[in-house]
Amino acid sequence: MIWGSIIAWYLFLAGLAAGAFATAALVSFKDRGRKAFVKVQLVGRIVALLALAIGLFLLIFDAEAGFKNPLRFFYLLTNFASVMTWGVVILGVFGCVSLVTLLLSLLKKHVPYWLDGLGIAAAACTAAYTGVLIGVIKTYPLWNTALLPVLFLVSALSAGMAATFILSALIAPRELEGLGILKKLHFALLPTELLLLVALLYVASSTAPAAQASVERLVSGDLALTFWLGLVVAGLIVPLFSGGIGIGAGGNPGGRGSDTDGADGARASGRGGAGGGGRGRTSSGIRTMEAAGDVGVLVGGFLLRYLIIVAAVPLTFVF
Amino acid sequence: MTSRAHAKEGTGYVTVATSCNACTNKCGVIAYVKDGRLWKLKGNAAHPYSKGTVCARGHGYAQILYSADRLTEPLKRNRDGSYSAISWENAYREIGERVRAILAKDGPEALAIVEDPRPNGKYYSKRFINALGSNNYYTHNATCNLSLSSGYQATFGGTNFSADIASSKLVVFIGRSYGDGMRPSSAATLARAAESGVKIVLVDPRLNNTGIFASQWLPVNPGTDLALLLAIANVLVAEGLYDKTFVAEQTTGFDEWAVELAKYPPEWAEGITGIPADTMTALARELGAAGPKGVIEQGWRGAFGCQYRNSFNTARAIAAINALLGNWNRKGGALITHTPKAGALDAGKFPTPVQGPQKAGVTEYPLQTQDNGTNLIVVKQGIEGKMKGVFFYNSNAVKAYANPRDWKDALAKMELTVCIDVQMSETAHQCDYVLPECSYLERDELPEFLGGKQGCVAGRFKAVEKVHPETRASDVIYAELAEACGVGEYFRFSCEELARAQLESVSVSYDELREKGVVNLGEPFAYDEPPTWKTPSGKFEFVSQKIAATEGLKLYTPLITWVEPKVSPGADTFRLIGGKQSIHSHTMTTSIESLMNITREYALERAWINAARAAELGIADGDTIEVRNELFTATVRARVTERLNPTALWIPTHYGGSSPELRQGFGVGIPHMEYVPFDIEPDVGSAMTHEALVTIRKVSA
Amino acid sequence: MTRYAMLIHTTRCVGCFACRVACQTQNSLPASDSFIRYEEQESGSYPVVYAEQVPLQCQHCEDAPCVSVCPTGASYINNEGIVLVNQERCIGCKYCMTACPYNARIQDHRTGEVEKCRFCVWHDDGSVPEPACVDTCVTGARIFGDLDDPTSEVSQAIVSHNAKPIAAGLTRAKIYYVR
Repeated sequence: MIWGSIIAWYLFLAGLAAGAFATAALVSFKDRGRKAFVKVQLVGRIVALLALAIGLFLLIFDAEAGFKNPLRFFYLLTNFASVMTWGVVILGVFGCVSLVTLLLSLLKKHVPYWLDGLGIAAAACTAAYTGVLIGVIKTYPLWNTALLPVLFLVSALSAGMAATFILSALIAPRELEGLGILKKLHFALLPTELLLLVALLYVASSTAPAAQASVERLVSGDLALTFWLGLVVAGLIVPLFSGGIGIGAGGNPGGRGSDTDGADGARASGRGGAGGGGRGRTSSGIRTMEAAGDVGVLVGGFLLRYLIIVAAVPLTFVF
Repeated sequence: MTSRAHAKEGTGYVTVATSCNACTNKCGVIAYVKDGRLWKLKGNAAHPYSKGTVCARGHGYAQILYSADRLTEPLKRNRDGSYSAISWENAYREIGERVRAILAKDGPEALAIVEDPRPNGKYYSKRFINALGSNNYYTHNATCNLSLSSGYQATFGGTNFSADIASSKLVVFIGRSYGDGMRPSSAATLARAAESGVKIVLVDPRLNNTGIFASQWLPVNPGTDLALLLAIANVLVAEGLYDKTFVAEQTTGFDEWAVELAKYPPEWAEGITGIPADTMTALARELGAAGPKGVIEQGWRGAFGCQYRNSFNTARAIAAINALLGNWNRKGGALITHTPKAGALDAGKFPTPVQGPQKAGVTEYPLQTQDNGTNLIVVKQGIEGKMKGVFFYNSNAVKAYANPRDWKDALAKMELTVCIDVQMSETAHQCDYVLPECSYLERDELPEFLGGKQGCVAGRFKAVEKVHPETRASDVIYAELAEACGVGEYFRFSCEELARAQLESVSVSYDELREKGVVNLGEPFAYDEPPTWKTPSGKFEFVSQKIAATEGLKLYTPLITWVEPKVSPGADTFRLIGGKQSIHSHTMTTSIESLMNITREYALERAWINAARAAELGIADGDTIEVRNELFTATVRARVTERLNPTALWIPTHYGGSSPELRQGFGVGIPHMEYVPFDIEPDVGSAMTHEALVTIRKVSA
Repeated sequence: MTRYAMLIHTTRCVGCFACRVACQTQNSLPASDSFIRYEEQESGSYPVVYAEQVPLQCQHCEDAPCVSVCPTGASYINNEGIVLVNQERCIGCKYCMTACPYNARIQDHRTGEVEKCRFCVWHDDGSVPEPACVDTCVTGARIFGDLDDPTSEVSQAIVSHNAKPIAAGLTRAKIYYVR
């Protein structure tokens, strides 16, 4: 095993950062300058930069020789044939945009839409890059599919939203109530991810024997318990259920017009303060369940990377 | 662009021609030394055994120099079994006092020395014990090749020969594997021979690592090689496929043996060996057609050096088949080559000690080749209270020679036990005094004379200065010990003085040897000269006159007959057999980190079990199994394989280290000898190391 | 031009590990690190069995994936066709290790840098490289030389034994195997 859990954490955190940024930017687009979802945006931007920083630290820490000789990291921009070099560029752009947008948010300034647009593009590249990075490696047929970047992209957005939502639920639960459409998007990502995962395993297991062996390790081998309980049940099934119930419950009172109305509702409740009453409010039980689902998404997001990293069996060619 | 490592390692070294010490071959090597530290070894192309290459053991064992597990100062055992440092002077004085006490009370026959011979040891160990008035000089041979050398001596008078593989057409190996117990030049010769179309047949319960060169594998039931050989001889004689001229002119006893051989047709051998009669008949006919370029290889330890209660006769049968085929000294056959020797030396400077009483064990085991003796007698007489003091040099007898428990019992009863070694072996752990030698790369040794198609002399010269200042070279230790024991007059010369005198006696310049490492001696071997048979009859003996003249034999007869092995595996038991691996040299290399890393990485400590038998027992590859018999029980991982006879369990013999100071090998694998009951091959004196049965059960997956 | 290559006769390899240990000492590697690894297979069933050992190391590919993925340019191919690592540039990201389909690269944990077989090339004295694995191979299973010189031993042996890279279509490897 050449790469292990540190790289899995990095892939996960970079994806999470991208997803959280995208969440914040989407909320900002939805907000249209009305400042109804300021806290959620701020949470998303903080999560994005923090996750990115931790992920990059792990990446540097795992690069033992560079960690010992930091000046060598300047060589990183020399070989543009390497996906990793492109990754450095992408991460650089994404990191800068994240930082600037976070500062603007903290200074309570409006983040220009073009900047968030650029940020979303950089975030998408970052999330996809984490998949492309290992997806171009022919040694591990499990990784070497075009589906992997797409899967990682979807999972990244899912994880980023989950992280943003969990924290927002603590800090600004009312703002969150008005983001029904994002919740639906968040929910919709889960079956997409499941579908992509099934497709990935199916495609892989019908190619090289090494990929078959990898899939076997996941589905029925030494990693099966983590795969089924951790990734499939905790990471996908539980969030699907809790998300479904949450949307069902949330959709009743506030769901009459869950896009613009929802925003209005949120604004209204925000303005109305405590007196705003029950309209659009989700019961605490459902909120706890949604949070549990989001925790599941995060666990699943990490396990997805971890399992794909460790399950990969190298090509066999000698015999 | 230049990377650091490259620039660092290209230049700035000096070279020293010396010899390897990782196994008994002592191949010529060139040591590369940088800034006073050994960098690497290369093979000396002039040496007949290395021919310019070095095996894994050679490269690995050189690291003993810098091993953290080396002995660095003399040690004395405390009452509780722990060890404390002692000065050389005090150690010598105390050992000297105890030696004198034993000599005074029990006489010189109560003292013995045991070693794995190396250039200095062969001279100094023997001289030291002789100087004390004792002839009890023993080597490891009773657990190596004593049956083989004794069997050969009883047929053609010499103790070994060499199959002329390069020029042969068909070579049959009986249990020996050049790919496992390796001499580089032999493996190279075999590789070339196989490629040029020489047919190679392996008779071995295990498809060993020489298998890559083999055209045919005959997975004989262990311990029954003799039956297979007798069946081959039967066919050769019955079908008249033997060299009648050679038999008539050079041999004795043929007619008598031919009558005996009639009892051993391939059909008889089939049930014993597990090899189809037709296969044996076909092999015999092929040998008959190929002779004198069809040859049975000479073996070493392999399947009949010391393993079974019939090994002596297995060796005799091999020699006899080579005689039937008219192979002796014929191109492509079996060669008895000359080994040069040093000439007479100045008796004033190098006085010969007075001859002492006969070596213990010679009377009880009269068919043995006596030079190396049977070390098992030291155990036997130790337990009986007759042997009172023993010295070990470069020998891990307690772990490797016979059942360790018996060795420990014997040594515990003795009044003096001394171990000279570079590391704290299992044997050192049983000794009163442990004297640290410097490693072979830190000392000069005596020249070694080697036979073969071209005789030569090889040198060993110091490559680096001592790493640990308190260690001393064996010649110095022996001279100082002798002084302390009151026989210093036999050691009043330096190793270099003796080496120079020996070389002068054969007209070789010391400086030339130092420069080249190897100097050829005498004329190359000439084919077709019949050997000088050093037998009582002066001929090759199908019926041994020495055996006929020896009284009181318990097992063997003048005729080469079938002899049952001591034990036979049943339906629930396996015969425990063992062998070498190319990365280890007995137990001495299991302390070497780079070699033990290979063991760990490739799980080479595993016990081999036949796939069908494993399936019956529910054992899968990699499972942990318990190997048990009445003497010992231990667990080890299984290697489930198609490459093994179903009646056998095969383990590498060198593992299962129990000396905690040797951290690399400690507790890795299982110790073969613990399972082997202490017993001695009748008349010959070998340890019968494969006469043990075990049961197996799965412990965990 | 000089293009160094190697031929390995697996039909001569007894799996003795001499090349591994020789390489370790030549390159002063820790005992646990090796540039050479082995794969073993037995085929057939008792008593008709065939066993084969295959040594593997850097294949010095002309289209080396390790070189193309290396983000710092530390991995490169020198003008003699030898794939090398410029350790001064290596950050130890191990991307090259994952990209090498032959699993021929290792990380030296003393420095964190990635290392591999260098065909024992000396850049500083201009001499012909003399790989320790070839030099020490007990059975002569390895031949080293210049692929661009049709008279070299390795070129001729590749032709006469019809030696091929260990895997078809994987990379343009320059270690040729006789199986």
